[in-house]
Amino acid sequence: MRFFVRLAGAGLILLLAACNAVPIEECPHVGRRIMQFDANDLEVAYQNKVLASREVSGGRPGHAAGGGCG
Amino acid sequence: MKLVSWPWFGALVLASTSARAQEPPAPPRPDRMQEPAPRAPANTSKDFVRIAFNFYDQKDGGGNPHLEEQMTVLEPQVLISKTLSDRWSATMKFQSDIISAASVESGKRFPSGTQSGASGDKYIGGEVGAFYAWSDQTTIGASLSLSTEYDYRSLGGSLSWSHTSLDKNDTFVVRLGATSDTLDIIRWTGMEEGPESRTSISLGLGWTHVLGPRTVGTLNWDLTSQSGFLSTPYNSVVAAGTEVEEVLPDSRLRNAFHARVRHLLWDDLAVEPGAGLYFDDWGATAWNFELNVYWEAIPNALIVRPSYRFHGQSEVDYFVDDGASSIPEFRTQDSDLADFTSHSYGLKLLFPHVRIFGQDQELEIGFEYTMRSDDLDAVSFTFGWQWRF
Repeated sequence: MRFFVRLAGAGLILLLAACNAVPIEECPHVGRRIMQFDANDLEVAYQNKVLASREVSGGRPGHAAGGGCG
Repeated sequence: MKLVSWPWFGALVLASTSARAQEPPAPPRPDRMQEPAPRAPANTSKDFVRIAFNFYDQKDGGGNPHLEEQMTVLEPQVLISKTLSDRWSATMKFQSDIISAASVESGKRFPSGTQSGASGDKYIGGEVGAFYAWSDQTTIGASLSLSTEYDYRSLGGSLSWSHTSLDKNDTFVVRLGATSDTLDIIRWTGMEEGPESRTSISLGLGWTHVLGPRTVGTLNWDLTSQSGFLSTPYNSVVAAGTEVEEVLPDSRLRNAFHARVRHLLWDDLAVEPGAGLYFDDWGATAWNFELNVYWEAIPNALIVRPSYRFHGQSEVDYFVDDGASSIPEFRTQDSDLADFTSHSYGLKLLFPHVRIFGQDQELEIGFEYTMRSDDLDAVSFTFGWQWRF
């Protein structure tokens, strides 16, 4: 299991790192609302709480598991 | 009665075409007609008040046969963010839960009049954060949180560091967090056993990378170490002809990985596939796949966001089946620590710029339905409002 996790992680990092850097001036779409990750803190906090209490995996990405009564 | 015979109809069409051909060419459209409508920019406001109301309802169609798991939660939230100076900004968040749970209704499971930890009735929590822009590229932050319920109090703190590369193609985030919980142990029988503690320490790493003119990707890894009283006090285990309290180990190491890619397919539509993997030293493994679609249906006025999420997980090593012939040292029958899969379907409508009383505001309405393989289905509604000042 851990081998596959490491393999998947290494693959993802290589995939991202292999992509050539694009001058940000050529990426006007990146500054648009529909391209923005996690724009709403309250939505993320609510989703995190629901997932943390109902699933074994403990919440949204970027919100480490732990804390709380669940 | 035939008004126009086919030959006459053909002649009329030809004449019409010919007449159009003889008309002077239409003047070119004004430039403003050819410019695309402005699109909604990213929400980067640091001066705002945001309020949300969430409603969550879980049906008890299955799950643990020895426990009623129907639950309804009303959760109001408030977030205030304010720029304090060129370099400093601050946030304040308040959150409350009003919980109604069938498992703790008087006369059903607990002795009449017993207040159990399962209902708690009300949860109140707050968090204060401060952020300092060290440079144009680097921001550091710290937060302090406090929350309380009938049988539980929590104190937490976190530190964060965020750095954007000079070419603005990469953003790296490091988060360190610690939470100290105090639980009043109230067993499923109503018996009180005094307070216990739980500590959680976490490290989170995030990397966001611009993959191309229309594509952005993000990777996250979260590591959490927990110690102390990690069981749920009011949970019980029914097996071997008896009912005993849940007992779980006093330490747990948890790993979670998640990757997402946002790609603009067309000028008004972006898709975001994502995948996550989780494992811990209690023997649980979980995986999820999700697909979110962001459609700017009316430029700068309406974003429609349908979503789908699949989740699967394996049970922890200490899960005890109903038919077990003996009671092991560590044991649980918590439905959320069991084997199951789930499918969640959501739809959100976001109005990014609404003028109310001359102010720039944002509204959102959301709905989500989750179907679990153990029939603990749930429905959720959200209403949100943001005022930028």
